[in-house]
Amino acid sequence: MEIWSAEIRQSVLLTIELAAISTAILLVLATPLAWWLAHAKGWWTEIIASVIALPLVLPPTVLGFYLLVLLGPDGPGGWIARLWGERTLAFTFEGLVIGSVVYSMPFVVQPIRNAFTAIGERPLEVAATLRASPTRTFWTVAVPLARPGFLTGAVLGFAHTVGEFGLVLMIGGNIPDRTKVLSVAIFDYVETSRWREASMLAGLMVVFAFAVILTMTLVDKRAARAAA
Amino acid sequence: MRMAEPGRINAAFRGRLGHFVLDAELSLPATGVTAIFGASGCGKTTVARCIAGLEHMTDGFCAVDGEVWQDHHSFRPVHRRPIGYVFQEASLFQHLSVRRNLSFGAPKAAGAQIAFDEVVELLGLAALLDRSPYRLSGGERQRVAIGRALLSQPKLLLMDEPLAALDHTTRNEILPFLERVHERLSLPVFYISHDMSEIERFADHLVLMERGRVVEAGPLRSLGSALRPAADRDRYGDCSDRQNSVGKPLRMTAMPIDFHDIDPNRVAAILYRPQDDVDGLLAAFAQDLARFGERIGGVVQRNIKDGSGCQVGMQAVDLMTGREISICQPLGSGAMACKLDAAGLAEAAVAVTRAIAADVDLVVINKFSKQEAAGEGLRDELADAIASGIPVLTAVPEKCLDAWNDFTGGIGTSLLCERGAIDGWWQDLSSRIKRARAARLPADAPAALLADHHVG
Repeated sequence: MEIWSAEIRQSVLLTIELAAISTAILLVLATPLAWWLAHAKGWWTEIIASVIALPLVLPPTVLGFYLLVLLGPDGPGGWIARLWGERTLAFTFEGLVIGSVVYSMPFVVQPIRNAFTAIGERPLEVAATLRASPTRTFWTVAVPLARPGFLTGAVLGFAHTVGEFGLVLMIGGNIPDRTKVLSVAIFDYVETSRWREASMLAGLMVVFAFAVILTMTLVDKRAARAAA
Repeated sequence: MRMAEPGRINAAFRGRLGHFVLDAELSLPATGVTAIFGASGCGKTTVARCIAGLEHMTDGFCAVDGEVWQDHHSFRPVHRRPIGYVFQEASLFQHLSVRRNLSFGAPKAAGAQIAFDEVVELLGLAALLDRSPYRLSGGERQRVAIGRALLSQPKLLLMDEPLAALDHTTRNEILPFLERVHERLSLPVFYISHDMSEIERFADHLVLMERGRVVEAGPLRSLGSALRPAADRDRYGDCSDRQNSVGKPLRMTAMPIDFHDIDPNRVAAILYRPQDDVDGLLAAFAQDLARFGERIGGVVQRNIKDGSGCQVGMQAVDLMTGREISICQPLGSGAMACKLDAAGLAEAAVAVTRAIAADVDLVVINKFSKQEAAGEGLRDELADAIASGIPVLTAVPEKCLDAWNDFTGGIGTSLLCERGAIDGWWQDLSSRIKRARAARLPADAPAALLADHHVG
């Protein structure tokens, strides 16, 4: 099929790659963070939680602007990039991953934190009285019981990474095979009046969004049924 | 007693959790079933949680069978303490089958003392093993929770009101299982409950708690009789003449009253406020004196409370014979249908007459209220006592002062304690008890009796 051009394929694959890598990193970072937020009692807990939740409210362009400064040649991103001979992390795939992780963090932390809170102290206390170390309790009790939260977090993190636009444009630009993800590609096609490609990708996104919402609903329903 | 003794459980916790102040000290044999009994909110659960390590009181000590779990320098985390803990709610792991719940805490190595098959048989779990906790009834869940705790090979099993969340039928269904566990496994158990009937079924030792303190501890046999009147009777009691004796009083306590100072020509009354429970104190005190052979007659009334501390009736005891002479029952929302009703009042009059005939040194009627004032029965007997030169001591609630003055108008009365003086009296009393406890010596004041006979 002619329309399934190399250009489009590239965008789709790049988007999936970005979303998958970001989601993996998000889960690794968000889990301990959510655990800490669910159990810490100090006044600073909510301050940290608010900082993490900032991307929910901030315009993506604002976030993108700060990330651009941070990732650019004069920011910490530039210093890190120099380790492997690059000048900057802005307008690179790695930069996009960092941006996506920051941007999608609240969508992953929040459901996992809620799931950990919902478990309550009791199962953890029970595990401790059964000689389970805190590590074992975490892996064999807390994580399995919080599974719906992890699923929701992963789906939301993935979906938001796929759908982000403003931030990607700010820090990634529009470089084919490096930073040109789906949402940017659609914008690009519209600007250059390639309506067929644009409508196809847009349709694809609608299907994807529908699948995400359906999955989430089913996961929620299953969790509710299990708890009944 | 902050030292580790082999074969005993020694624990002491002092501190504050929110508004709750705990100051409990225990030393109990590490065998058999020890029941911790007390009204809700008295700190039973907190003590168990402290022993388990689920709560960390900085000023605490805990040693089980000579092994120190907590002292000033160390605190062994929960998962390193060989305990089993059965919570009020079964708290099964919902993501695991019954079988995997049971084996969660079981050691991997073979040769465990408490075997899987034995527990399954003991608690009747065979048919449930592959089910999910969602598909179990409340009673079944609690049996699985007990089995799970046993299979972790505990050296001490803590059971925090394991039956309280269950309905009556389910409770009766589980009790036989519990009894079997206690018979078959020689495992020390701390059983927390506010239900005396459960405790009487299998406890060997009893710890009585009140407001964060241990007020009594010892073998159930020696303590049980004092608690039994409250426990045996069902909620509505009965009015028959009961033959059981008063038994060992729960507490003796110091009172700064010199009985020799009581004016034999007047009825002496202690005026008190409702929260001060002076009548209860006077009842316990008079019963102690009578039991130890002092020549005291009269009648004391005490409240009968159910396991959760609710007043369910009132009991009057003849001090000379130690017999209950009347029981009264409540009439809805705490009102008494009859306190000392006509018959009871007559019986009280008989008790006082008998006391006068026996030429006692003191007549005690621990509580006076409006019902007494309404009846004519007691007045003549009190006048007789005064005429015979026998002093009479009673306690009068503040609200009954007018009735009391009317009642004793012709006899003459002296108030030993005006309302302002009661504060000082209580402060004096509590400091005395503290001092006596600290020194472990009899209280010094001649008129004061030693507080607080702790066993063990």
